[in-house]
Amino acid sequence: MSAVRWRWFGMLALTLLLAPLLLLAAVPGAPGTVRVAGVSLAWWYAGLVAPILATGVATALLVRCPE
Amino acid sequence: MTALRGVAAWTGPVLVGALTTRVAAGAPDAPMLVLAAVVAPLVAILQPRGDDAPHLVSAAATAVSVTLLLAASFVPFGDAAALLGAQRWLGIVVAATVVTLPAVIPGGDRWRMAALAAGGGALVVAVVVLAGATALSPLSAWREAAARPALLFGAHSAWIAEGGGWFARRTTLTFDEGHRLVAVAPATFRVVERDGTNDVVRDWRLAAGDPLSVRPGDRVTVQAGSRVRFQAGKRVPGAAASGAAWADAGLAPFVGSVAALVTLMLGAIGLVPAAGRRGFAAPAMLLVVALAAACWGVYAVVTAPEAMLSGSLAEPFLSVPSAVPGARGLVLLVVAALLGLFIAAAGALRERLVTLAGARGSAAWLLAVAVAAVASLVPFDAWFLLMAGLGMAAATLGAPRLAGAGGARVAGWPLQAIGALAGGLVFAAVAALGPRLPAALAIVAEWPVLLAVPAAWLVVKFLR
Repeated sequence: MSAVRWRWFGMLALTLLLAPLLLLAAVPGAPGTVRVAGVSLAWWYAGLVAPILATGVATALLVRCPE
Repeated sequence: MTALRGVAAWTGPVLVGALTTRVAAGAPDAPMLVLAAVVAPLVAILQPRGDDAPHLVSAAATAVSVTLLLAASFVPFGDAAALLGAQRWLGIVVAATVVTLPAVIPGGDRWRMAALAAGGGALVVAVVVLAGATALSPLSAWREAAARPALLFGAHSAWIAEGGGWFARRTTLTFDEGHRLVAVAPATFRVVERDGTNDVVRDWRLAAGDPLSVRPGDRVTVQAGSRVRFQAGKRVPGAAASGAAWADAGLAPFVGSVAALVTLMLGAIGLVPAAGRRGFAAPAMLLVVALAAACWGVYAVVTAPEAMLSGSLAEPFLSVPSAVPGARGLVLLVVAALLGLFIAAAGALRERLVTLAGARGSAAWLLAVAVAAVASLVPFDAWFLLMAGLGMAAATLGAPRLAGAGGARVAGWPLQAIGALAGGLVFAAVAALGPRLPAALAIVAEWPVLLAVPAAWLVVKFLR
């Protein structure tokens, strides 16, 4: 895979991490407000899981970028 | 430009302050903003390397964005000066001097990376100290905040003390319960009372020490610069009704969320340069700064729920330490952290401007600093300026790059510059015509990027 394609793939992958939060907001019944261990699902995802995942993905993609 | 130097443009105090205040206020878009604050610059550093050849149009577009972002950064420094008892202009002059010196002193730029590391490190240490002082981890603090039956003025709050609190900008407060305010200094208050189905508007000119009684449902507009004392033990007007209401802040409108995301993502693509394989420290820095800002916002709800009352991004950083016994010294650490991040952010923005402005880069930077300093004397909303600056960068720099302008030229002009011209003109036109647009286009008036970004993108795609 070329470096440009690799980078476009990375940009797309990271952008997709935002989609679940938009879905949580769009789905009826407000599933984002459901508490898991006392903290809402939206905050678990947006405040911890997705940022750490995004950081890991970006770091891996940068380090392994074929350039 | 190394990746860390580049992302410093993103981790400035205005974004940190905006994240903190949105989280503390329980804004519906707060979770999305925290995530986007991490993801947007990560997408930017992964973008394919572009052709940043100097050009007048690209330089002008960058200069406008940078000026707006600098003004957004100066506003909280002016607010902080006023909150600490000094004149507002003094904070702005200090901030403007701090970002001017590295440009005029030979070698003055070499401390930038140290400032970034020190600023980010100090912010994290401040959050850790706050966690220790409150004996609450960030997760426990979130649970504690969400369990509060009501968000009341804290016992150590300046807003209930003799000297009262200071409003950084014109604010309208909605009261859920009866309250008795006291004007600490002469000021005019507009009270809108609900009388059946009608609103009754009354203007009250109060002298120092005069009280103003309001009923549940009343809305009180306070002018910028007013000093007001509130009643201890009462709910904070304008704050969420309870911890549960703060935690389940509702949902941001879908189109507004998308517009904010477009602004942040493409703004980052415009201002944060692509990173190489050795840029692995940058993602970690972004994660740490964004999460520290969000954590500070959660602690603000637990310790000083009135921290957003003044409307200033600076207030949560100044009021939280004084609300926690044993953490008063944190004010100095937090101010140092924000100053370090500010120096690094300004340096990164200057480097971006100089890249695109070529030989006139330094002059363009000094002009941007001067205009931003003068503009920030007006108590604008820093969030509005931040979104305007990022929106302009999205329309003029991000969208053409995303459309694949590359180094292509049309009639001797770089395609990137043509896209920037189209995006910039549409952005400026929509912003100028905003109040006159029909109600159906209110969302476009609020977010000009919704038209400007597709315009720039289409122009580049069509000409390519």
